[in-house]
Amino acid sequence: MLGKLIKHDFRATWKVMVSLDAVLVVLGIMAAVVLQTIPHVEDSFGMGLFMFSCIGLFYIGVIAANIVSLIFLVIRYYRNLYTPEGYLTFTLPVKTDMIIHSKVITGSVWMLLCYLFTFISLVIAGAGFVAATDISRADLLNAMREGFSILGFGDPGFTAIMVFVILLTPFAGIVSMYFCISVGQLWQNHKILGAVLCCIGLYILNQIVTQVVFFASGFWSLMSGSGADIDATFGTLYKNMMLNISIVTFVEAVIFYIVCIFITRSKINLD
Amino acid sequence: MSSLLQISSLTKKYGTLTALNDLNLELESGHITGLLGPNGSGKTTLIKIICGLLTPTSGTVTVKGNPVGVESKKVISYLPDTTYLGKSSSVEEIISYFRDFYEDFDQDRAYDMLQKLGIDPRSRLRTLSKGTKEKVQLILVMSRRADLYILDEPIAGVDPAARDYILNTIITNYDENASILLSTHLITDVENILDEVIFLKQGSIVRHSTVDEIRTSEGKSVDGLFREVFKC
Repeated sequence: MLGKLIKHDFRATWKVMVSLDAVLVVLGIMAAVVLQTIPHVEDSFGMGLFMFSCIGLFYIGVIAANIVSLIFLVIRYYRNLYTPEGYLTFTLPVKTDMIIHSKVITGSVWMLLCYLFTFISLVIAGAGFVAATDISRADLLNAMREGFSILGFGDPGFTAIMVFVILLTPFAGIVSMYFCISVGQLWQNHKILGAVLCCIGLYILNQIVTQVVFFASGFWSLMSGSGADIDATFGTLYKNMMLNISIVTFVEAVIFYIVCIFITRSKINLD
Repeated sequence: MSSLLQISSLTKKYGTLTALNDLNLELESGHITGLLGPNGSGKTTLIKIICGLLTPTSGTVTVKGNPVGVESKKVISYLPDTTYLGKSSSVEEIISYFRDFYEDFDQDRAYDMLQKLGIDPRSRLRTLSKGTKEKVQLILVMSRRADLYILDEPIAGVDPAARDYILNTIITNYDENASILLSTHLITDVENILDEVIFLKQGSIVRHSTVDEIRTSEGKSVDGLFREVFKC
């Protein structure tokens, strides 16, 4: 039954989600084309203004596509479960847990693809920038290699952490939003307001937790480190920080997931 | 006769408001039962609890011996009192959805009914009128070979001709061994198809008897008795 739920969820969402991914690619291509005007920017103020405006719009567009993707999935979750559409969803002969599993799986996959296409869009724009300037590709690659090395990408352990973070981020993002929607349903009235307030509360909590993890990960050791080993200290700090944040995020996401299932299983009240 | 639906000491409270009060009910297979009561009497609340859409405050509900859950949902075909299908879906997509999830869904029966009504299966729900959407929902619900059909206000807000179609569809498409629990306050329209009635008043059952009993013992029609019991 889980497979059927996932199949129908993908079928119902693919047009919008693929369109948004396509928008990201188109934005990247447009940015790459606009960046070809870089050699002429110094000649004309208007040209410079045009280029910077377009790049600004590119970033806004990329962020908007990501936000719209998330909002679309969250609204769909809300509609499918907590509006009259829920009369069909919750009368299907499937376990309530399965309904949540299917929503989380499809939502996570779509958000992961959204992040992937965001990356592709940035790479396309970046390639356009490199092509339009006289930056040596070898120099650029060396600089990137050095930067990644400082961050610790040469270390297999760190690479594993980053892969985990990449897979965890869309899952945690989707689950936290579904959690807020589910908590909002516990309110007798003003359920959407309840969900929004839960989102705000969660955002504040996340900021506090992130700061705590940041300092606990060795921020002070970086601040007090000597200039000679600053790169190594920064690399260690970054690795510790990513590891700690990913653990905290994972634990949070699992708790949110369990709460979503609990609320949907035992507190369902479709008025 | 076997017990199809068993409800014991069912209570549902919304804050301080009691929607259902210590309700007990048993329904057997093979009957069409009218769940009758004025607005706010608890009809929809009771139906939603049976269908697993509301969590009761206390009490138990079993369908063919199973608590509300996967097994009960397999045998209940539910028509809510509102449009509940996604607007962006086409009729054939929804049929495919029902076919995938309900083992007892008869796809041929659904297409046959759609054809008789001249509804194009490729049409999207958002392009259909409210009345046509309601007919599509009814077709989906009655195309299942369920043990218990629960129909919440199926004839409310439709014209008399559509009412006849709906009632005819209900009568001609259910298995005689199945039961129908039909909620309405348009009693005159349904009186002739009912085997028994439940009068619900302020969350409590005030009468549960067969239509024949009412006619013989009270000398009144169900509609007449309803007007007397629920006189304002």
